[in-house]
Amino acid sequence: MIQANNLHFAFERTPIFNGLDLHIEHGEILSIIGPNGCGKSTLLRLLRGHLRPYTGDICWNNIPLTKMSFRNLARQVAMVPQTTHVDFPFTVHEMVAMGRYPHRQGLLSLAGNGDDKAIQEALALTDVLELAARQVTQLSGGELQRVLLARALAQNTPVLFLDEATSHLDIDHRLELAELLVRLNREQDKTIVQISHDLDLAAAISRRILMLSSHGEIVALGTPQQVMTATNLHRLFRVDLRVETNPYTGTPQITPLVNTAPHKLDHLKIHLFCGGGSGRILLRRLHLAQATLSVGPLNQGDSDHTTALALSIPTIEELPFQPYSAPILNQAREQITKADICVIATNWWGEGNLDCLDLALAALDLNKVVYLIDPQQKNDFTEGRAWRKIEKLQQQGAICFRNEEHLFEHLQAIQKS
Amino acid sequence: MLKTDQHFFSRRFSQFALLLSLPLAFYISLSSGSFGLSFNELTALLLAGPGETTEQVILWQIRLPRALLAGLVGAALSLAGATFQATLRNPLADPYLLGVSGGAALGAVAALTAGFSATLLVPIAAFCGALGTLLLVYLVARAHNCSPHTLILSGVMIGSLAGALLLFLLWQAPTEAARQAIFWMAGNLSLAHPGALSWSWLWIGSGLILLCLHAPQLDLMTQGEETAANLGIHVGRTRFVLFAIAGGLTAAAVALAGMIGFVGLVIPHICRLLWGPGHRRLLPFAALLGSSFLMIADAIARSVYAPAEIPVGVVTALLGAPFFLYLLQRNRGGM
Amino acid sequence: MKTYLLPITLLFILIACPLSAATFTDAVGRQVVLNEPPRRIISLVPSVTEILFALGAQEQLVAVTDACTYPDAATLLPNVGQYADPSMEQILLQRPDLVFASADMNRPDQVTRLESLNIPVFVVYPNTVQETLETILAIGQVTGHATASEELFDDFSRRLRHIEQQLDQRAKVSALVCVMLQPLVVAGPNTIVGDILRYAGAINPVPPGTNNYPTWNMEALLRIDPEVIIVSAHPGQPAPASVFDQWPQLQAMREQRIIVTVADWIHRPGPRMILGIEALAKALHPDIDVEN
Repeated sequence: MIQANNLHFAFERTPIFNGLDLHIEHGEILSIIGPNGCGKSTLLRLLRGHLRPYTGDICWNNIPLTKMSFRNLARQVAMVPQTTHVDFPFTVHEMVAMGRYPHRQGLLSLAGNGDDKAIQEALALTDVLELAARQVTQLSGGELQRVLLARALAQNTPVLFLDEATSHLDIDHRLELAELLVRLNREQDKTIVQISHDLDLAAAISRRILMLSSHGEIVALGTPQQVMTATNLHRLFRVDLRVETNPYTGTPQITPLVNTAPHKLDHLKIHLFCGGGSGRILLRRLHLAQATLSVGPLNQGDSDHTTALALSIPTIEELPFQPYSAPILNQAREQITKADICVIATNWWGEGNLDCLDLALAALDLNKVVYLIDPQQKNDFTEGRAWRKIEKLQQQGAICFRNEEHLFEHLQAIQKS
Repeated sequence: MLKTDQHFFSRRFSQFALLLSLPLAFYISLSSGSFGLSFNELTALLLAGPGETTEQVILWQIRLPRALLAGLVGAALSLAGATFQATLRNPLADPYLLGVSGGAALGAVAALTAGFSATLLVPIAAFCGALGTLLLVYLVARAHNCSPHTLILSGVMIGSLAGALLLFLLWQAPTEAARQAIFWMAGNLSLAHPGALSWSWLWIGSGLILLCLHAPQLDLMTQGEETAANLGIHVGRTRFVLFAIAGGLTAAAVALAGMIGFVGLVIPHICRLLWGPGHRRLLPFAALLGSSFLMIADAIARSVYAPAEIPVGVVTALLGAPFFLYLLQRNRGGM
Repeated sequence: MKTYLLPITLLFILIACPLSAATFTDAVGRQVVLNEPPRRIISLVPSVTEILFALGAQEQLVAVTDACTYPDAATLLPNVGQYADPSMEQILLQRPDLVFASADMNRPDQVTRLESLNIPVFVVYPNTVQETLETILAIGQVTGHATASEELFDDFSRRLRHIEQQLDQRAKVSALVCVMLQPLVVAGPNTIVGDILRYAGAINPVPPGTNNYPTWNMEALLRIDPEVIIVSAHPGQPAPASVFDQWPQLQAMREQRIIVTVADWIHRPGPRMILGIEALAKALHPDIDVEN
């Protein structure tokens, strides 16, 4: 039905999609999930033709999107937007009637016979029939979302796109909407593509789920059972979720494991190596856990430097865009002697921060504990020198963690012992 | 249920009142001026047809064309205001927002200071200035993303640029030309060339018809560009067409009577408050109300200090602003 | 105590006023103290420039504004900027010992500013023909051309009287002065133009009002239908014919009594004003004879 091949897209200089392929089949319900800013809405807008991909092409029923007229496309697909704000006080009926525009003929676009029936049906299906005379500016967020859905239904298209259309709905209307979508899918053979934050509901009604990473890569695409695994969800949202099977529906059911006891690391003295934003999460979380924290060396103006400054964390700082000078490195060395643990969060190695690895090696000699977070050889831009040092660190007893979460578990254990 | 009935009744009543307002405004406009005419006198004069007596000449050759002109200009400004407010989705939009005023004034003053005070050249220059600026604003905004924001920003910027050039022209202009330019910028219905009525009918009338044909598109444009596109509108093309029509109407109004403020801003709002935002109703109603409003305002401007005239912009603001505030107070539902 | 007071006061007066100093009162009641006949005068007022030339004081005049277009010699003098907004720097650079300013065009703060820079400023404010004559006399005294100014005054007054005698007992003609044609702006009675109309034997049909130069429309003109329409021909105005030809009903049109005058003759309160009065009187009452 909708075929996207090798999509590349970027906002300004931030790439979002790098060669994305997707095929949406006729008559399926596809849910797109992923963390904030991963490009879910962008994908929908690309498929709808609001945005042009840099490269790659999108076809609807084997017709390239660029060759389809606006009106023709509007007869193919209706979109329920995220909007919860409208400026002009149209009545609900007028608002829903707008959905009939692509079906109207002639210069005057007068309402035809089929229009009124379609409007009434859409109003009834979304439970807003009683609101028909009300002004949309006076509706609540949930009511408005139902009106916008009604408008999309009045458009009477084989495909329906929903961009978080349930976010403001009450639980009863949310379930009703889910039911409605399934019914439309079954009875009218509508293809439905929705973006959802409601993982359970998505799992319950979707035939397939598309899971996007924060960089717009496809993490998984398949049936809810294939996609909704604890590992995938952890990779995506960096929180622990328990996935069970719903005993009534057999679909995956996700329960977040909320840790009600906040982490407390107030016995630990930790020195952190980071830069370019790699330390952002650790700085914030270690600070909240009340660990005795120091950081550096960092160049002034580095985003981690800004974070450290904002949280009043003692920082060894170098002038902007300068290699670390000898006195600064000495200061850092001195600071490290006061700490028990060194954490290397840096995820990019160049000539400028190579000295940090030497500092870490020196820390090992002083019997400090050294942790590394997910070092990657591809991020070594020193022709292998940094990677050799990292390997040496590991040989001498530095421990690697996959991510901050794992490190935290480990630190928690140390704190307790 | 009672409430809806009352609402329906008051809506019907206000529509009826609107239909009556046009002949009433026409009557007021014809009967007032440097001397008043009673209903009987007016009827007698109208029945007598054009003639040689001073009263006949004044009625047929001065008041009648001027009332018609006021009606046309009022309709053009209200229609343009309604269109800009919908397409820019901005309640503060008026026909002059996108630099049109600056451009028109610049054109007119350039013609005046260049010594072309001949009757026809100044309005033509104003017309070209207005449309030229609008086109420039549109092209600048289109080079970016043409969102209402960009349009308004580039409109305000290019408008101020034109304003700066205008100030410079006025500064170096001969005193007389500068004085004339100031009258022109304040708006004055006596500026129009008498022959202008014949073509402005056609121009503004076709503007009204074209806009009414675009009423459904205007409705959709208020929903934002993506939604409009979702519902099957070619947004870029539609916006261009709507701007062209509204710009043509504004330019015509400005060329006829200088810059009369407030009509284009407040009349569409009043109509929206009274009869809702649907453009199929809004556009003809705004045209009607704008006509009546400007006719009455001009009649007041002509007669309060007769034989002297006060600037009509003073009257439009003094009449329009309190009425608008009253309506706003009454329906707090929102704009 | 009192015995000390008198000598001290006298001393102060002596210091304050050198012997050659003279004090004049200008049109807005300010006291202007000048040491001697001024040698470097700046005129910010076109009519004063004309008066200075007429009195033979052009040797003392060092700078004028860009509105001072008469006589031609005035345009050759250094220019200190616009009439309403002269440049303070240019004025200072000319090291003037007297500046003439006008009460309607120059803002009071400009006058105070010059005063604070120790430049004497003499303000003129002629609003009638009579005040114009008085201004001529005052300028003569201030600049040391008292005799010349009295001669000019006498000549002007004599010609005025001559017109008055000629017009005595004659019916007055209603005449409207249009300052601008598009839109129609007319001169009210409380203006210098209104005063000139009176001297020229006309009745101004414009009622007195708050606005001295009100905006009219064609309806008012048709309604009032003056016998004569006077258009002061400023550059940048449409030709009177192009405006009035559409209204053959106008009495002035029928009788071909639409008069175009030199604008400066009736708008500038200077020595040429008598030319304007004579020209209008002659145009309104063609059978009288005036001197020139």
